[in-house]
Amino acid sequence: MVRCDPLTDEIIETFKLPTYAVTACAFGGANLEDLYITTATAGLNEVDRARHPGTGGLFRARPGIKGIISPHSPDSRAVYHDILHFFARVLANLGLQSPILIRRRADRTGIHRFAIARSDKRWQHSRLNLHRPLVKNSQHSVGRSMCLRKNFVAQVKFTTTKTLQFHWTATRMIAFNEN
Amino acid sequence: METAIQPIASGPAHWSLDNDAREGFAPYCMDANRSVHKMLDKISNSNGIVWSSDAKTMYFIDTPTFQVAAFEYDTKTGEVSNRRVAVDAPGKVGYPDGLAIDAENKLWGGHWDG
Repeated sequence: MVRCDPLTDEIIETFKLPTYAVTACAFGGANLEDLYITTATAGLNEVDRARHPGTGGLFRARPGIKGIISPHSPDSRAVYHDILHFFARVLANLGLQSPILIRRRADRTGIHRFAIARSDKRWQHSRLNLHRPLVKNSQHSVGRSMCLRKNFVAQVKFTTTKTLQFHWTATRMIAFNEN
Repeated sequence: METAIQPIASGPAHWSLDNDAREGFAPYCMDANRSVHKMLDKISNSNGIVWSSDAKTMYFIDTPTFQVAAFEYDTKTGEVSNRRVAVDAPGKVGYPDGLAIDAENKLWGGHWDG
């Protein structure tokens, strides 16, 4: 991970994760104070995975500076019901009780959203604590993350045919919603 | 399944990256009339897009270029122009993938293989 200044082409800080590839990042949390980072397993064999124990994990950092919801961002207003539903199922499949809770909410459009609530009491308010992934997942890549009205979602790419299909659907849902 | 996003009130356009598109992994923009336009050509692998807080600059990653490109963004028409290189990363940290922006208008990005 890097933080950089787009006006000066300067890398301000670099952060290492115990993983090979970062796929996406998005600010989330109640005040956009958390930076969620998704990582991939794609292209790694078992030896490489052992060398990068955080591979495929979902990380949360607290950089000490808040994010913003980017103007015109496709993710701030749009409806991603299926992606959220998909992600909720993924987490459920992982048997995930903690540190992430999923709550079902209905917003003004009447469409249900899944919010990720922080429930990890052990979370350390240290500068980028990137050693321990929130979601340990050595089998699947996590990617294409976004911030939905300050809630973070990501999608997970499964390796089985069935869920891969779901991935493609979900990917398309980033651009288009059901109608 | 491939239809509209809700039109947004705050701007004329709605952006998305479509890495599934057969004809190219380009960024698309949907306007308030729900028509979709391809916004940039000759893109290999769209992997990150954010705007500055004033919405006047669009930052965009086409991963194989190793760069974060900046465009002037017309908030009325949704058109982009005047490409420049905002962050040039070859050999520094790997393939750029993913983009977020913080309250100081600094960019956060991940890297593949780096």
